[in-house]
Amino acid sequence: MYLPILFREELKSLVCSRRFLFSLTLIFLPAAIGAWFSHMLYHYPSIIARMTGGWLTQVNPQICTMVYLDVAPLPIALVAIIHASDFIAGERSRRTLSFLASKPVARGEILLGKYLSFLLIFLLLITLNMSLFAISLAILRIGQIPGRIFLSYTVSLFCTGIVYVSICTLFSVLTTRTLVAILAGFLLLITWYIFDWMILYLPQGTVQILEKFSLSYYINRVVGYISNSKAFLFLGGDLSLKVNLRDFLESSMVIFGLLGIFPLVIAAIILRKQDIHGH
Amino acid sequence: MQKDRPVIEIRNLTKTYANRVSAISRLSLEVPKGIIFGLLGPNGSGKTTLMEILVGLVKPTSGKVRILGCEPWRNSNTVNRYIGYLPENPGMYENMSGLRFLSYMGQLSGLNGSQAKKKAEELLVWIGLENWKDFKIKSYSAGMKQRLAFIHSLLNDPEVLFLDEPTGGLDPEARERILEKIKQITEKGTTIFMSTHLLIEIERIVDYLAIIDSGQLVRKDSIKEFAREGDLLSAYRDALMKTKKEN
Repeated sequence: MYLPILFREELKSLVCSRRFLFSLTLIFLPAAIGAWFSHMLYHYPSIIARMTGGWLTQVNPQICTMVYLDVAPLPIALVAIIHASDFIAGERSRRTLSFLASKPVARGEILLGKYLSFLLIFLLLITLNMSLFAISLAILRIGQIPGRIFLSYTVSLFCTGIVYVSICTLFSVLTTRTLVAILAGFLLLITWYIFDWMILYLPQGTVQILEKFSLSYYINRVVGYISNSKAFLFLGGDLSLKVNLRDFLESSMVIFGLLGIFPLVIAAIILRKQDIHGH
Repeated sequence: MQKDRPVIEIRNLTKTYANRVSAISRLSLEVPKGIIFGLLGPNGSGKTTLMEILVGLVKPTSGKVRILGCEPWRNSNTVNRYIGYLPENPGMYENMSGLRFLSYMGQLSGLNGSQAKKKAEELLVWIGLENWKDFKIKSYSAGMKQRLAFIHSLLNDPEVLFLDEPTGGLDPEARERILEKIKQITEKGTTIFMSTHLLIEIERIVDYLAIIDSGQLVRKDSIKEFAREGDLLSAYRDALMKTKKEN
């Protein structure tokens, strides 16, 4: 009932905050650096040959995007962590949560209002980030990213973001300080990222067991299905993967259900049962 | 909501935190309609915790609490429509203007956009902040912030108003202004439940007074009864000493 009011107000506060300006930098700077790096790879193919051990000797927009997508999730996830960690912990530390919770508003609505307003802005930022990168490739005469591949990579960034937003929302409910939630989120990001890279260098038998714990494994399948098996993440491991509908649905369930909605539901339940102190 | 009942009923209320600290212990109280009920006690005596339980922010460990016949923890959405709450040392949305803050809170209290804005403007005039309504809250003085937080609790014309140290940290003039306003509100039939450290405030505006210490009710009487015994400070000290001896 109060969700539209909370959503609108959160949206206004978010766009006017200093943190948002910082996020804009974190979103757009990597796109610019990514474009410059692509330009280097395009004009100096020896770099990509050295990077891939001779497996690739020249680049096209698709390869550039794939390389970019191995790094871009880091700032994207960082923006998600910084904002989501503040949802409840920030209201608590600023002593404003008691204002909201003493109104006839369900605590779940407070959480959802913040979550959805950020998600909307986040989706726009990710789309802008990818658009900026794609435009830069076109301007630098490297080529154009096909629409379907552009869409699949945008979805991959959104998937990464939604996972970190949801998990950090849970951290935010569990802690009283934003910084603690940010550190927890940051630790998770680093651990997961290192884990994703580590998997690439493990023996095949071990990989088959451990890859199920890798976020890139699931995102790779979503990207693969949307792009009709034409685009993948380097971190996903398998670049010749054929993704069927079942794989896609299973991966979507893990990303949006288990890692997206489930932490949010747990956060709402915990918040409902928590004591809220105004001092 | 049931009629002809005390607006606030507390029976054997106990609140023990996870670290086994007991904030409230078997406290019972009743507050009739239309009075100013004062809560007095030393720091850490459980006044704020009691207030937070009454407005549904904190879950009681055991015992019963009813506000206008409803349990605030279980039915916070219903109870919160009829109550107003001013927390102790409230934080503020510093980047909002006073008017925007009140309009937002008004909408969350059940008013539509235009009603909330109209009510916010009325209250800003009433409390003397109309010239500051479009300024960001971060530019307000501590007294102005407290006045703003105070009128925020009146947006829904509450039947019961909970004020946790409403004049804490204010200069004499700002304190006087808020006390005047509290008296004006009671004339409309609103029940006020307030905690304070200032005996002079209690003597001036409170009808009934409860003294609590270590989460227990030490004494509850009308302010006239306290006055009959001499000065309030002596009565307060005697009440606390008596309980300490008994324990």
